[in-house]
Amino acid sequence: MENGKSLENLIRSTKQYEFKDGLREIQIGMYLFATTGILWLGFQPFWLRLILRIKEAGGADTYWLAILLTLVLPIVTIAVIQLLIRYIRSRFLWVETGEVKPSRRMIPFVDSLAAVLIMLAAVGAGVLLASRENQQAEVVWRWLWLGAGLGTAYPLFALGRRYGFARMKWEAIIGGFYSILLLLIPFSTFPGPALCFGVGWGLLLCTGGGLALYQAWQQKEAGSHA
Amino acid sequence: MPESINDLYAFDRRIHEPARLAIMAVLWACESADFKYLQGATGLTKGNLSAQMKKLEKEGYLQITKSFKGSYPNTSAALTKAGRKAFEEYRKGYLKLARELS
Repeated sequence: MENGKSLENLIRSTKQYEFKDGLREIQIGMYLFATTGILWLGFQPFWLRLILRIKEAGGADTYWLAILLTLVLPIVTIAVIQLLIRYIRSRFLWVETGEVKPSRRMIPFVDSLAAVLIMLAAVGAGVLLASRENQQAEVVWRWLWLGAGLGTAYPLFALGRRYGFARMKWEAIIGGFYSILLLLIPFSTFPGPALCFGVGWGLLLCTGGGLALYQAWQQKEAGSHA
Repeated sequence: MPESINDLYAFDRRIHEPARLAIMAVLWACESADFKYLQGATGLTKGNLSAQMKKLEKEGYLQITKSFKGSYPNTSAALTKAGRKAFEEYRKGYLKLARELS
């Protein structure tokens, strides 16, 4: 049934359109950088001193405002990148090919649920190990990052398989192994695995997304010169 | 009459026309798309695309929004709830038929 096949291709190519240029991966990568940056700041003595100084100078309200601003920063990062993506697409990438507003459920519910279950299973394993071996809470935290890593890798792999993006599958495999590796490295400080998680995954997604963006740009240039 | 042939009668004739089917397929896969994307994806001429979109709008399957992007007019389209449901049923039907025929 050739007609049915081409119709399915049409559906698939429209769904691919949103992820083809790699900007979504870059967005998630940047978000990870922002949250990791915040976490890093939270453990820096100079930042803690600054917060205390703000408290002394402006009172409790200013102090809470500073903390709130710190927490809001990753959300602001997401919003700014979202605007930037819209601008890049409407002014450059999608000028010739048109604009598409993606479906709200690009990742099926089953995949999202599986990601949450993977995360919970990893945390559960961490809690179990920590209680059995009478270890510190750091073990739980490290398993949490493994869960977060595998919980990110699974939907990414599923997305790559569903829409035919080999790069996403590779990102998921590399990211998954990297998350397992983080579990095995003995970190001396608490934020160590968290920082490595954020920076590693952020770099991975930004690199994969960046390569896809470069290809999309080349295609756009070739198309406009044709 | 074989069952698969009988199934053909169940197909929504308002969608069955190839150009309209292509438009519905593209819009089903997203929230909305502009005229330029629809034209590129379906390979239809401007006139044909516009006419088929109007027909689908008349059937209540499509919602057309006209706006301005800077100083340029911009037309975008999205499936209505009825349109989405109709395409889902149509797709289910042709996938079933494809399985029976293969």
